[in-house]
Formats: sequence, structure tokens, C-alpha cells
Amino acid sequence: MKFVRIIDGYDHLWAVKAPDKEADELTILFRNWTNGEYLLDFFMENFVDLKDFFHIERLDQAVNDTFEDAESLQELVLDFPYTEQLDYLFKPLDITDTRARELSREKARNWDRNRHASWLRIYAIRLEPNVYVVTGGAIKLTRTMQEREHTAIELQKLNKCKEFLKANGVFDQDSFVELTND
Amino acid sequence: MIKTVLLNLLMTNNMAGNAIKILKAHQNETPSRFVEEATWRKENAGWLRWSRQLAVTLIGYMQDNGLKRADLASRLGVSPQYVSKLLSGTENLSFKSIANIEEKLGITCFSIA
Repeated sequence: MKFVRIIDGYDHLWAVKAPDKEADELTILFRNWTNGEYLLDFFMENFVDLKDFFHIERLDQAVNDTFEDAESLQELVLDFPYTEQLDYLFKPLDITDTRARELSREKARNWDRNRHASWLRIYAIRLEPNVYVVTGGAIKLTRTMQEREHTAIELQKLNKCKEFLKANGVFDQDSFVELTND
Repeated sequence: MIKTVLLNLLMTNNMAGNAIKILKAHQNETPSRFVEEATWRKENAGWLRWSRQLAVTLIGYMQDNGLKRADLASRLGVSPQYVSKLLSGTENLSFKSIANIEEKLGITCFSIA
């Protein structure tokens, strides 16, 4: 597994670069979220979820909302690493990912979206305060990540990255506590 | 107890620097293009807004008329590859091209505020 620094000279935000992909995970996310053809395919494939969970039946509205949302989220991602306040951008993925522990799984989204909640998610592992590695992201239309294949894959990517970091010496708090108890 | 807390603090600090060292040790040779591409999108936001609006209008037209890409290509008299460009919302089109689309489909792509 390889990593890329998102902003040259700043160590706060990184992304996974998979060997079989042309670009890193963050770059790919925003290429997709700003491409109407990609979004059309996605919302056609997930039309039932769009209707059931967001009560939206218009593909043009879904694509337009994603364009707007991606633009806002892009602004947030561009600004935060410079301010070194990434802990305000990301939040723990669920209750098991408390920040008392290292290597928590985290999500970022545009929390201030109008009309309906944002469905764009950026997923990352938090290595230490204000240091994150983006593992991927998704257009999340369902309540949980396990419900759909494309979000379940993102969960696997988060876990794979966390395991890689642990295996390479970035210890989580659990192993740290065990070490001090010995 | 104090010894344990101090030990924890010391190890936490070591872990902190260690994390970035490990990322650097596994750093990809080719840097990220996110900032470059995001900056391009920001700098070109003015005309991209129109291109995206055209894409959104075409997507709505396709849904209303039950059309696939090939059907739209046929109505416009263009290749499917060109339709892909139109739907991407990243194509810098001429007035002539837009007028041609409006004429062929009988729609208005942009409303003047």
C-alpha cells in the first residue's frame, strides 16, 4: 500500500494510492463527483435508494445536488489542511471509533447542506490529532455502509488500511495498553 | 500510576512522529493531483457552471423521454462519445453547438435570470 501527501509541504492529509488505480483515492473521488456521466450511471443504478431514502425521483436533481455538494466539500478539503484543523472536518465513523484510540475510522461530509442531508462521504483513518489518510469515499444513500456493495467495499478499504498501518508499526491504543500492562 | 501516565505520554509522542515517518516510508513516487485538479475546477468555475447546467438539462430530458445515451446521440446526430462529453459537464461548448442541441431537442438549456 502506498500513500500520497495531498498538499505539498503539509503532513496532515494523505491518501491511499492503490497500485491498480491511476490516481489516489481523494483525486478519484472528486473526478467522479464532478462528472455528470459518472453520476448519471450511479443514480440510475441506485435509483430505488434515491427514492426510498431521500424521496428524490429526478436524476437531474440528484446530479445537480451532487455537483453543488462536491464543490462545497472540495472547498473544505482544500482549506482545512492548511489550518491544521482537520479534526473539525472529520468525525468518527461510529461508536467503536472513539478518538481515545489511535487509528480510528473517520468520515467527512458537508454538514451544512441545504434542502437535504449531504450524501457525499470521504472516509479516512486518523493516525493522530489532525493527521489523516483518506482511504476512499462514497455517495451514501442508505443508513448503514453494510447495506450496499459500494459502501461495504469502502468499509473494507478502511479496515485494510488500518491493518496495514498497524502491521507497519503505527500502533493502536489497544495494543499500546496491552504493552504497558505487561 | 504516575510512572504509567508518563510512560503513556512518552510513547504517545513517539507514536505521533512515528505515524508520519511510516507514511513517508511508503510514499508513492507520483504525487497527488487533487490540489492541481481542484484548483483548475475553481479557476474554471464560471464556464463549468454552464457546462454542468447543460449536462443536468440533458439528463432531465433523457429521463422525461426514456432515452439512453445512444438514443440521445441519434436525436442529436452525434456520436455516443460526444454525448459522453456533453453529459460529463466538463465540455467547453460553443454557442453554435448549444443552439444546435436546443434546436434538435426542442429545449432551452439556459434560462436568463
